[in-house]
Amino acid sequence: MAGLPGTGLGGIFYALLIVWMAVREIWLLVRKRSSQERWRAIATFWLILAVIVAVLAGEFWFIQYALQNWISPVEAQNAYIYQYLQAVTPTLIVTPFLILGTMLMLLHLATWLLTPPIDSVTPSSS
Amino acid sequence: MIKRRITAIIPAYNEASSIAQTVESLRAQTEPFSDIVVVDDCSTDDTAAIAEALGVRVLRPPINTGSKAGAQTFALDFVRTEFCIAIDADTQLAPDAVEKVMASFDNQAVAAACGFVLPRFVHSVWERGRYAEYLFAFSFYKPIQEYFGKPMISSGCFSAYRTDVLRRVGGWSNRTMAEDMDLTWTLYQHGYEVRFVPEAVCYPIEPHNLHFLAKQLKRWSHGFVQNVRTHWRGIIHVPYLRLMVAVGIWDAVIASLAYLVVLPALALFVHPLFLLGYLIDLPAVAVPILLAGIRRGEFLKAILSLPCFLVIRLVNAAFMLRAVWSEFVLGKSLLVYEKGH
Repeated sequence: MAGLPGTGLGGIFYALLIVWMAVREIWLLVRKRSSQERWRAIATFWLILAVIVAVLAGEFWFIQYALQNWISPVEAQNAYIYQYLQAVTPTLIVTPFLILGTMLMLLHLATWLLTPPIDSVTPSSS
Repeated sequence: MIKRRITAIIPAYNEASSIAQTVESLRAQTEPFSDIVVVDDCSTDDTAAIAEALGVRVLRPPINTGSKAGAQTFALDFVRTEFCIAIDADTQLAPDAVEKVMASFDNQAVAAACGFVLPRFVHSVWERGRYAEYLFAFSFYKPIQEYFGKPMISSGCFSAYRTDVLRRVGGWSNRTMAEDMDLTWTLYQHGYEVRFVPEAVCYPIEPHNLHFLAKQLKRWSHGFVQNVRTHWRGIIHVPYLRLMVAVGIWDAVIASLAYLVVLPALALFVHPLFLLGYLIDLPAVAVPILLAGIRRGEFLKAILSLPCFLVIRLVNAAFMLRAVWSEFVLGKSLLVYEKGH
């Protein structure tokens, strides 16, 4: 959304939505509510996602290569950075998915616990 | 083509420099308007005189309504057509924008529809940043939201509505600083559908300097937080939207803290290489932006705007943190509507 700063968790969330589209569309296909136009849109999104994943993979490969070959021999401190990155990378990858999963569960739980205040949503302009 | 009766509502406060171009772009539409209404919200310049000279209907509330929402809702009482379109006084439409956006209303459940937004002028750092930001949002995030039937906002600068539904929900509310988001989420909670039509393009004038950008971002950031506070209990029951909003607020807070606190601290106390964190997602963000730029024949403009995207993102982060702190922690709500240019 314009005006919002982040593309971190949001980016991963929208990437997962693209993956989910195909699953959802298969379900709609079974119920005869799918269309060729929607499949075309999904194919476009998957293509964009594939390019994004490829570009990110290339970027991480480049960072690793640079740290190993260009920077780490220069000073011990950089080796420390490399080791630090090696250690935190799995955490960095797993954490957003854990957060998203927790968010999803909490929101579903909230739908059961809270009733919609439909009367209070009508705006009252003054 | 189905002949629909549509009224254009243009809220205007001191828009003498842009109102004529807006009206002309409405007159050049492939699907004509039945009525064009300019709401002169007690301007102190020649807005009303220019609009009258162009032959459109000019309404003037007895006192300044204090917000775009107020001016638009004032005009709603004078609308006699089945559909109405709200357009900012500084926004021009592509010639087929109305025709494209109105096609959504063939579905009776659709209450609102919006189009693709792009800055009209792309010169300053801020306009370039916004251009990249819009290309990203309207060619990546919003089409995904549209696939799931939940565009997060029917953009305030150009959106079409069913007039009866608009009246039923009370028009545009001024209880938040983001009346477009408020109305969109209200429509969802009442079971209506909202559509995003990427082929319907509009061109608003975006803030060209930091002074005006600050006013706009203050409104947007506070508006987002105010809408979350107002609607959270209702939108929890709207599938997909609840997740989009939850992720949005998470990103707004965590990304802002990362950009403004964590990365500088790591760079200062651990190693300057951590400053590369500001660029880490740039390749991923660049893909949709450059693809959209290629599709529009504006590749060079898109690639030159990418660095400005990084700058505007930092400014967004500062305003978002301030809004969250002010609205949620201090309990100080922004109540005064200030124009962005």
